[in-house]
Amino acid sequence: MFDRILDPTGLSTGPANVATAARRVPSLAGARVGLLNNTKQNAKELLTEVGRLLESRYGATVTIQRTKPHVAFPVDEPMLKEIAAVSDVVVTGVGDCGSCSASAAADGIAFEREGIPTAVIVTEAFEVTARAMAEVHGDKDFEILLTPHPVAVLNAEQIAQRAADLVAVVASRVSEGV
Amino acid sequence: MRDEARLEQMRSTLAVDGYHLSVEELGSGFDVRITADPESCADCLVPKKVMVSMLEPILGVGAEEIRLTYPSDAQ
Repeated sequence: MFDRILDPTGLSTGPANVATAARRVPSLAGARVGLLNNTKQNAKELLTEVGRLLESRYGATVTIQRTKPHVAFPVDEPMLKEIAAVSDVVVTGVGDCGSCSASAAADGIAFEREGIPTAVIVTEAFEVTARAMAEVHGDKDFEILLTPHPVAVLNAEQIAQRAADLVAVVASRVSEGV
Repeated sequence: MRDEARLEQMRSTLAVDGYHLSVEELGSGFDVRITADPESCADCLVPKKVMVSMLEPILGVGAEEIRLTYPSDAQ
């Protein structure tokens, strides 16, 4: 009767109050990067550009790029597994509203618990909801990478600059050797 | 105990998306109402279950003590 009943908290797919930090990759050289965008305006473009910079500046390789089917819900388990299977690190975002910032935090924690170091990008205006969701998932100190709000109205040149501003902290977030 | 600073942060964040938060004490719990500006993005508000979970540590009570009303409840 029902295909699937989605749990908007994302907690039904994993335990809460469990340590979430996956081991960081020693280096991004040769690392496989998964990109998960949440359908927000310019999220795909920003993540694509971050991925391109991780390749050109750090020697990583983008192996998969996926778009969540719904902005407000955490990534579902099949997509999580699909991305995790071909990624050493993940970059996800952009949390540019209340619901998507919350689900981005949930996604980050889910990937970390899957053993994949993950960079979660959220705009500064929605840090509160991202951190509140991280607390719901048992990790109120989960690291979230902030970028100025909004991202949705940026043009191509501004997106490129924003990605350039972010890539170093993304790299530091997911690897040891930066 | 209710964390006023965090509550105010949540109020400010919701306002960015065009939502307005009011909180009234109701016995041992809270009556929480979120209303929406006409132009607010319907997908931008977290689901009610998520909002209650977020409010629990901020209000210092369990979910059963939070009565939450969403814009969609008024329709």
